[in-house]
Amino acid sequence: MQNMKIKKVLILGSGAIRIGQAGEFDYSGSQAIKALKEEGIKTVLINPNIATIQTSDYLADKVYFLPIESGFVEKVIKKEKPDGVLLSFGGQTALNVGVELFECGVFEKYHVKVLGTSVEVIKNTEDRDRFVKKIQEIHLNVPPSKAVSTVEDAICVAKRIGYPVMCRIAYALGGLGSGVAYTEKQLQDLAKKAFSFTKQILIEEYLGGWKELEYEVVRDRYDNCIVVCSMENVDPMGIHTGESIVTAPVQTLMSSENFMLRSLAIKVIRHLGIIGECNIQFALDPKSEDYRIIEVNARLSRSSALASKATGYPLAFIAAKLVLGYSLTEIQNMITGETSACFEPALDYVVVKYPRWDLQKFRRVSQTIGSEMKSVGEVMAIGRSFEEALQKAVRMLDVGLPGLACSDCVFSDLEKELKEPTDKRLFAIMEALRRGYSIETITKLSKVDPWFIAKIQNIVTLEKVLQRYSLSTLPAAVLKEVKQKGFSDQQIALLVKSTAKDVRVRRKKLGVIPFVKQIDTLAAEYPAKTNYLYLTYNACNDDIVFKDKNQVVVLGGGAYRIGSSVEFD
Amino acid sequence: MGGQIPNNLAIPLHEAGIKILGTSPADIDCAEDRHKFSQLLDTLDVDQPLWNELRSMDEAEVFAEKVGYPVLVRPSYVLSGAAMSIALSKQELRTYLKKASDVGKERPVVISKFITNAKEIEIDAVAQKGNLYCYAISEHVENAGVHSGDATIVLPPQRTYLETMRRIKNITRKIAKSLRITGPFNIQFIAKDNDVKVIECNLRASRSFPFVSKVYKINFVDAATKVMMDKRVPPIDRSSFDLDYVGVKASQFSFTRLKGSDPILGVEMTSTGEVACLGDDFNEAFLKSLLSVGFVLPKKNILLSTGPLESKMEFLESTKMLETMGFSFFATKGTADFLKTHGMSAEVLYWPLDEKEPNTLSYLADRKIDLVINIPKNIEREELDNDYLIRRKAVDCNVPLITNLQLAKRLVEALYRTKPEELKVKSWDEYT
Repeated sequence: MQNMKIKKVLILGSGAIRIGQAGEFDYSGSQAIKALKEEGIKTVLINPNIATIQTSDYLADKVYFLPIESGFVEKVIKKEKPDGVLLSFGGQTALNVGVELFECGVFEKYHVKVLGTSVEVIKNTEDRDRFVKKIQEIHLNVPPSKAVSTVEDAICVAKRIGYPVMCRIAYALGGLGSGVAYTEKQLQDLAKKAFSFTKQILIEEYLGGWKELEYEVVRDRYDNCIVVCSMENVDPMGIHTGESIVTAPVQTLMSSENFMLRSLAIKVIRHLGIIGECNIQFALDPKSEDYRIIEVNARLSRSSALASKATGYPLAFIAAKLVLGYSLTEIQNMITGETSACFEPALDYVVVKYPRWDLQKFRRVSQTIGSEMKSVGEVMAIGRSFEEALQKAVRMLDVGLPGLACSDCVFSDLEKELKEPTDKRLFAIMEALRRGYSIETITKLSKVDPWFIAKIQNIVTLEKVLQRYSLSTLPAAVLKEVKQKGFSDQQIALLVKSTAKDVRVRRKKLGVIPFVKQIDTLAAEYPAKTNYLYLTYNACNDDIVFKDKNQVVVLGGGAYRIGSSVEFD
Repeated sequence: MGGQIPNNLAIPLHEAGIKILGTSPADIDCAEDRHKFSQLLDTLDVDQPLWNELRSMDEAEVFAEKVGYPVLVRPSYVLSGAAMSIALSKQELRTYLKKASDVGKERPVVISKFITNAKEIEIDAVAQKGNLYCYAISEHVENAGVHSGDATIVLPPQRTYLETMRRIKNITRKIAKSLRITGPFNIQFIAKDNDVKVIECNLRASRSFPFVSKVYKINFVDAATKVMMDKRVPPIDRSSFDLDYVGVKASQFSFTRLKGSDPILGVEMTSTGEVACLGDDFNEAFLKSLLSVGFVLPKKNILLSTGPLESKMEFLESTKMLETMGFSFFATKGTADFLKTHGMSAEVLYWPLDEKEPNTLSYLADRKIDLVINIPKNIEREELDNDYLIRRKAVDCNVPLITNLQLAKRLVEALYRTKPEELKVKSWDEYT
């Protein structure tokens, strides 16, 4: 490792929880502090979010409950005199303030080194024109786009690209102010609104209906890189990742497509010169292997928190070590306890992330989902089949739905619901299948990949099968099959007209019980030692032994929602 | 420890034969079930707002007439004010009842007398076998009627009578004792003069536990966990509760992202997060926490639309302070006339629906305004009106917006007494 003689580091948090910036940045900040402490480095944290774990008295050496704003940060730097600063662990808020302080020469003035990815590189990923130029240097595809600073220019550029166009804000948090314009009038409105937040907006080719994929990549200063996790959005391009149902690993790609995107991801991170962690978003044409590189986040992101938990690869912790100058080969993966940090995780399970919305709390709000994020929280479910993980995720949202089967959302205009998605879109697909729509029709309307719809079709089919039985006639084989597809006792009870309690008793009598599995990311090459566990019926034995009698179960708060958030973490 | 969600599982898990640590599920139920809890308060001789649980529209109307409007309507078992509303009239009551029954399904609704112009105060505490171990009393800046999750919260209280504090502590002791509380809990009170009423009691860690723990530097959750595990906890020195600084918690809203949503405070919680800052006095901590949630302090131009005459009067002193500080006012007709009669001037802007220039909307769009103070005429009206258009435009154009009278008054006072450049940069451990 390169000795950087860093003794004291300033870490910028992300402030209050808001749409687009939630608990993921508390996680990444806490991990970074732990990684620095392990090296004997003093840590100074600025974050006014008093409910976070990272502001606990046992983590950072100094905590400032102050606004994450350049004036206050400068004063803290002046007072604390840190040698280095971490900008990539506090979301877009920290990154924006970091870039601002760099531009004003504050870091230079107080001799503070920006650790990890340099500000120039950050700017190459954040400023759209610079980003496009950078990617084109290595002849890769980006959507045609142009940054503009007036409404007139926006209209002019849109004409050249052709409607519909995507309107985006540079340095945006969670796609704030972005939107699709189908007409000049719509663009005018969007652009006007966007310019009240920013000096520059981006007009870009609209890729509605393409598949959306994300790759999490880490790189050390010796140019070693690995792809930690691949993720696929169930919702197509046009729906913000924060609003999408996401699976890990990717589900519908052919091996050649996956390999292509994976190597592109590595090419991009190397060319940009990112040190630590980054997230790359791709759009892939479902009809060809044509792709676009949508964006690169040179920081820990919402997806990196998901990727960490989905793969057992502690991205933020390792990113912090890389930033200090370690190479990937020098770091142990403390979650698996066995592998080095340059071992790419391989998953024998499927993970589904599902957003939680609370739109009914707001008066007059529009219910449609799109390129701007509106969800306030999310859950992650683990299963061994997509159906199982998806149904678990829906239940864990705690919005009164027992899963996909037995969901009873009422739609007055189903086709419109499929075409213009709201927070209920998955249930609209479910309902369409129940009404006999073909997978093809649903794909055409919703642009959701037929693979996902076929999986939902499996749930619809089982829903119908179950209705043919009563609890006493329900064969063990059917019971097992529906449990493997993620049906809860409650769902089964509703379909066979019984109670969850009775189903539970019967199920146990028939010997249909779940097993506790450990997430195994080592493709069984090494024994897995993770503490990430899940229950599944798609197994035949437990991965762990229950020896200790002296254990307490702690129940968490579930998905963040209005009224229940990081304070219960 | 996981909030209301796992708390709702206390009874089902208990029935499934699982041992629940801490306060017993039967006692948790006694706090959650309005009837049992109300009865308990009556036995303890503790006051509560008049309420009744009702299942039909007619019963509801009769009860509302009896206690007098406004009334608060809500389903039992409620988190973050789901379908909670204030009804000012019979007609509004009907509308809200419909909404509440949509959400609560088989559960009845509860109607209670809504007390206007009252303060809201909360206590976060830990008890062991019914004895109060540690507690923190905090006051809301906004009057009762703003959800506690959206309110600006001050610890220790700066404007609460000592007598009120003492009463709150005594009531808390009584409740802890009778429910045999072991673990964390939170009680919310309404206080008017020195009259204290209990509005809610949760036998679980509350949203404000991190806030009070970090301000007092006493880890309430750590203490609660120890008592729940039946471990001994060291006694706390009384002087730990005597602070030379103030903590203020402010809420973060995400209205910008929720297109079309009305950015207004009410009994339904709408904030997505929070921050808290410390300061040598209230003003300093308050300004820091406002800045932390992205509030930009005004430089020159303020748009005033201060609601009904009563609130215009209440805000008069503050308006004068703003004028002394050199701010220029823009105002809608009514407010401008009011200012004129009190010797102040404002440039009159037309209401959005007047569609005439100079219009409030175009001034907001052109960013000629640094701050909007818009006090709604009544807190629960839903029709598309001028006030809504102003508020929404302010949010869409990223112009700071204040819709609560108490908050506006405290902001003006803080600006008057504290210069932004004087806000101190002190780390947590420097506040002793």
